[in-house]
Amino acid sequence: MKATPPGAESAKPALRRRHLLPLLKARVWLEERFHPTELQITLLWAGLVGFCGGISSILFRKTTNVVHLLLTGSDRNLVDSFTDMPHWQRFVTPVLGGLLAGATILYGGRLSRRSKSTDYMEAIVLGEGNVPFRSSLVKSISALFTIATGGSIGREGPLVQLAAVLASLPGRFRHWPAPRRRLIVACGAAAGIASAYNAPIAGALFVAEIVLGSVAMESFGPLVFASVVATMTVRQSPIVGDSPLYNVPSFRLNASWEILPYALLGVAAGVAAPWFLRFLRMCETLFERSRLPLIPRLALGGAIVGALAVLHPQVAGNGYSSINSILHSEWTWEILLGVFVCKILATGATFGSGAVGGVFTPTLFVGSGLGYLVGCGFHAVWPHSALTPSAFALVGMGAFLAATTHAPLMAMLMVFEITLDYAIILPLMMGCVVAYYLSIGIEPASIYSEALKRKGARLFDQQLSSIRVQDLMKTDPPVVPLTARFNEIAQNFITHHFNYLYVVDADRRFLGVVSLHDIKPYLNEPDMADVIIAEDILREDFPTIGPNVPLAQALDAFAHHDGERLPVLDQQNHKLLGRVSKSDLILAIADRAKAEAAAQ
Amino acid sequence: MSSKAAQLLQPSRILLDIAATDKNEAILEVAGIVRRDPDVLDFGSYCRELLARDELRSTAAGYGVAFPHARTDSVREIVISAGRSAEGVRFGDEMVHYIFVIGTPREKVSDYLVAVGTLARLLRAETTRTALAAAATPEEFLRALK
Repeated sequence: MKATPPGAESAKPALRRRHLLPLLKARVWLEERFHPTELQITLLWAGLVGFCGGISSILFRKTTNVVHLLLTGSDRNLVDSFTDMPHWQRFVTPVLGGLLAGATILYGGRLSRRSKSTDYMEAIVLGEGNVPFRSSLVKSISALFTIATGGSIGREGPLVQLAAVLASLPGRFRHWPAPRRRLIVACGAAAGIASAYNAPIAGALFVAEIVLGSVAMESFGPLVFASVVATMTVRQSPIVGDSPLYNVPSFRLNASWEILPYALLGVAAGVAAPWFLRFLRMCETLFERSRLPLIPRLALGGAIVGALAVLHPQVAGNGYSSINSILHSEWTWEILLGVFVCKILATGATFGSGAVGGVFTPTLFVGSGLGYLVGCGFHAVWPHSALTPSAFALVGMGAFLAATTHAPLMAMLMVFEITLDYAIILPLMMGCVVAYYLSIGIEPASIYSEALKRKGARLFDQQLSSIRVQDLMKTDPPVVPLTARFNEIAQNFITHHFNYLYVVDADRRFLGVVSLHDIKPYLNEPDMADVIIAEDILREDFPTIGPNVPLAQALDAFAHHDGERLPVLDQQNHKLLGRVSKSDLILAIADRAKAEAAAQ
Repeated sequence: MSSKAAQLLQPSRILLDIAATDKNEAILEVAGIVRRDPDVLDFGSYCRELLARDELRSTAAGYGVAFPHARTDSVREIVISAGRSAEGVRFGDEMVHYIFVIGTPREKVSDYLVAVGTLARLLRAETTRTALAAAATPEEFLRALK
């Protein structure tokens, strides 16, 4: 056994103390001088969430490229690799992707708890800020296969989903209150968009305008912070770099009147966008009606994309490279028209089949295609003006985005950010606002709001079910016995301002009500006082309600009853327990809504 | 009397001399006038409900008039019959000379209130009661109420 040098045993703790004490001192010093508020702490977490969102974005893109290489043997972008493929492979690749995507959801779904929704928007707006990890991962992997095999859907969907799920983890492990959990998940979503489009302002605004519906600084600050950190992170990756997403030729207005055609483009986008949304919903309905199981359904979606890709390989993928071609005026309008129609059909097929992914980038493509075609028309009329089709494509992108998402501010800034061309800003603003106002007149639901509305209604019902009549009931309502004279009844109506007076027996069993409406004409008749008792004017068929009835059902009961209150009865012995009023129900709902709003 | 109550109370439904001196018997005697009326679906049940209601709280109005009544499923339409007792029938502490028996379908609360309210208002007036006392025929009795 080695001899320990004298003093060595005690030297280690001493050394540790020497290191620990300054650390402790520093911590005390920091704590004494800086009292970080909750907002400041939130901001720090937002930064971390932004970083994680950026990293997950880089990893997802890299993985998509690897899967694409493995399945197609090509390392080029989707459109180029589809162009290189023989026809049979153009058809087979998206079918294969559909099969893999469907199998991932089907078999991966067995590993995760299915009942939970993975929608990050739902988690932020309606839920507690929890995005389930395993099912989100399964959906993202499914999206990976669809995207890597040319499905006409955007990668921003899984990017946002992954960033949001990572953002929900700290809240879950640290048991944060729901408002903070929701805000941090919102930061994750902003980071996802920012990293997908290399557009930090649009990322923050997307979540603020579409998901939260507010640009209040308490929430907008962390969103901006997360978006900036996410963007800085992805810019370190050679896949993204720090150049804008789309390179556009320089643009300038030669005369003020030239803005008018862009306003007309706004009109075209505002009218077309609602129809595009209706088309997507129609595709969804058609696939649902087919009653095909998940895997064949996604494969069918892939087959339609594949068949269209045989005609026009440009339909493959989210449309990014096609937009770039449009912006550089590489196509004639005749070719573009064919691609444009096929791309819309391909997006409908992919989206309708239930493939996981975003419709944001395909929407940008449709907008740019529409703009380009409108621009070709104007260019033909005024060939010497600055009305170039590519400028129209750019404005069309923003206008169509504003009209489908109902978020014009985000649309303007996104197009500005992804092109970094300031000269476009005036026509862009004009087009976005005109398109937005037209589209909301035609179709009040945006591309995102309808799903959220459906889920919101469901969740609202759940919340209503959790409150029961007994929680809102007031006990000891005024009652009269069956033998109460007319005078006594009239006196009760004067004192209590009710429309119905409850009549009970000696054991407080509910017998019925006396209606003020019935006796109102006789209230000043002394002759009635000695003759009429409650029993003579009793209405036995009055609706009642049980104490355990949920709020939603109680609302239903009031829907069929014109009174303000309902008697609450013990369902076993019919004893009167109390009364519940319509106003109490409405206040309970308003309270819940207020708590929700405060939480956001 | 209001047209509604006037239409309902016909001479054939007026009994000028109630034979019974007991309250319940007197009520049943006056009710018995409409025994064969097509609007009375179940006379036995009608009578039981009339007595039960009076048992619950006296139907005497306080000025020599009683309104035994029942809201019941035993009648299809509102039915009224009336009787006069010169000798008087004791309703608790009160001596009653005029008995108006009213049967109303259960759901017709308003009709019932109209009938009772009208009769009560008329009979509270002493002049009406004096005219009823002097009536020699059911038609005169009815006229006194108009």
